[in-house]
Amino acid sequence: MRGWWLGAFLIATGTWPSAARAQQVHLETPQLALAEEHQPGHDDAWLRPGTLAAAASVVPSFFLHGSGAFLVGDRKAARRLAISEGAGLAVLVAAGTLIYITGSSRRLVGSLAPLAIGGFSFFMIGWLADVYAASTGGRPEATAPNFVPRLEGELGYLYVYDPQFRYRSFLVGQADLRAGAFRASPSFATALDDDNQRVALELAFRGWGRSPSRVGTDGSFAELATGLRYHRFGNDGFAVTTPEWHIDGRLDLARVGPSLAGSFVQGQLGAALELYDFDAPGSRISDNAFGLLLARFGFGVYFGDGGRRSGEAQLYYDHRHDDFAAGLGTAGIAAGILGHVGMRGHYYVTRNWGVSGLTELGSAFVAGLSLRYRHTPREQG
Amino acid sequence: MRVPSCFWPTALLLSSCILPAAERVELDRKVGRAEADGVSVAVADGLAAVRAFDGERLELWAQAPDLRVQLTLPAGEPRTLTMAVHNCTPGSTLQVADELLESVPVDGKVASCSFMFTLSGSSELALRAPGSGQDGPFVFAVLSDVQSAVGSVHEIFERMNQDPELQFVVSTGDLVDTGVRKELTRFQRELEPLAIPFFSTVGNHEMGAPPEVWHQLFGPFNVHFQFRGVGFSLVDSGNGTIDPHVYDRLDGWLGSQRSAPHMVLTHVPPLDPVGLRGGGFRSRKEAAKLLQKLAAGRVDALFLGHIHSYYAFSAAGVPSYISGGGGAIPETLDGIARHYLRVRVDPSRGIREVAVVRID
Repeated sequence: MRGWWLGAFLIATGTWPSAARAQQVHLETPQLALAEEHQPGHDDAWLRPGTLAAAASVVPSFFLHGSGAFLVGDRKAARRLAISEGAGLAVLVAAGTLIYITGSSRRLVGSLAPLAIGGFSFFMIGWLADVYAASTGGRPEATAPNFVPRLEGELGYLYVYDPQFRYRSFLVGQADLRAGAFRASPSFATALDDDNQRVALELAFRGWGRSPSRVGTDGSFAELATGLRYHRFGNDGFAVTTPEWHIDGRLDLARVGPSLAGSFVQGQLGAALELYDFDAPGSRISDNAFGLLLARFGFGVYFGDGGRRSGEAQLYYDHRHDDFAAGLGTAGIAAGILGHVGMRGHYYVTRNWGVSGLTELGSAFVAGLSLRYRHTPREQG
Repeated sequence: MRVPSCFWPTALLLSSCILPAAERVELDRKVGRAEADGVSVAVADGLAAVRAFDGERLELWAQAPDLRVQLTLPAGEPRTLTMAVHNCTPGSTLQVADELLESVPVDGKVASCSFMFTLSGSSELALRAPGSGQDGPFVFAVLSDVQSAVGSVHEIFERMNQDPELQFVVSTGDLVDTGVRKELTRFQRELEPLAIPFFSTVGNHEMGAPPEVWHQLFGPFNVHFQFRGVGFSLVDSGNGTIDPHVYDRLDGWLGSQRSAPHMVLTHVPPLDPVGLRGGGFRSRKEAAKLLQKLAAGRVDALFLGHIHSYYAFSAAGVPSYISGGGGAIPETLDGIARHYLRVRVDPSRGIREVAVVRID
């Protein structure tokens, strides 16, 4: 499973071939002084960033985060990754132990479960980031877009293989409408082969980071968001309405160390309340309200220089069990607990137009491809 | 067309993630079948595991109070056979053609029955628990989530033995820690002093071993039987999901019990009443789909385990009870420790009482 993650990550993000290309260019083109200057201290490096360093670090790094960054000479990132691993493991072990010995007490689990997931996310992200550091040595040329469009939207196709449901094909769409620090994001998904529809609206306030009206130094941000979803399963006789609240954030990892430039981590934490409406005698919505923990973390990379041709890709874990992919089918004590894993990304091939794709694996397999548009004022493109 | 080399590993990964119970569904199709010395055995609906069969002695582990067993003999070759049924209601009878045989207890095993008979040709045998053909209310127990407390489960069985009204125990699983053969045979030894049969599906803690172990020792993962007209469906949700083929079987069971009381048992709660904990199905959509089915099928009660406490609540209008009081690490701060449920049901009126019997 870990091998699958790594392979998918390296292939999907293109870090493997790009690292090799970067080395080649580095040797042949003296004008890349910026990249040379940016490279972690070569005097401290045991290996040059690339496939060999990634391969050499992937196993040690799992146990001691920072090994990869250390190998390529970035001591600062190595130290910070090791510290974050220690903090993540400590929180995970402490929260996990308390959950275990209290038998997932209803009075404590609401606080402990987010901590356990948070600790786990620190651990996994640190590992992925370290492998990234070893394989690339940092990609300072790859940055977040240097502007935030007021309008961004996509329309596409989503394939969902869930053996429990008849649907397979969806038409999906989403838009992000921004005004200052505020964002409104309506979205929909409608099955083309079943009576199944989902509509949602999310409203967010960006308290920190780049927005249409605020200049930021990089792609990092923090948002407060609330949303409402309605998902109707016409052929299955039920519908669910889900109000939700969460905080979202992204941190560009160039802030952590130069060997992590060009990558970011993203997370979400919140809660939702699912209100089920069953087509059944004696069933009342008020009896069918169930809480839902929202937790999501991912590691991603930027493509392009943040200008007209740019994009990003992200590997993530999403704890939400009500999405199309829902939760992984694991055996043992973790049965039903884990959410799904996925990979998504987008790339703008012109100033305004691009494509986006995603694939997720949980109780269902999900894959989608969309055409993406952003409205870009000329001075920003 | 040439299949890419990555296809099969990818397909295997996807199928194991998306249909984790598929292997158990396949095994369920084989339960209760054996052949030896020209004689074949088929237990109707796979309600018993064939533990041993050599053509003369048949040993079964029952997962229902009543069984129908088809024995097919070579033409013109009469046979004398011995049939031992473990996990059988004491006092059960066996109908062999026109003859009604009384059971003989098996040494040291209270809930075991033995019969000896001679067949002159192929025949269907009918094992009947005492009182199964009668009308009137009866009482059964629900006990789940024993896990590592198997060493003290005899205390629960002793309490059950003091209750003369109990007809049998049904369980949603997690009988042992990991489901390996050594643990499951230990659990079956612990059952020997229990005076009534114990019928169970699997929980997530039985998923730590190949499914063949449960298949050989207990038989079916998914069970449906009737007692005095009341339906009992024990459904495998050991991976936090139910296989689509099991849903097809469940549809049939729901249809057959529409006008009679129906108890459904499955280990993992479709929806955890403490939603942030997420101790339910891996997919909330599937959970809702199941609850909608049960509600439309007018199920009288849904019994669940997995969470080591006691909860009574309603989901989709279906009365639901989580009881994981078999001794596994208990949920704290909830005011309840080891326990089982004592359920009185009237075949003509449905559930009359669900009581918690505290052990500690």
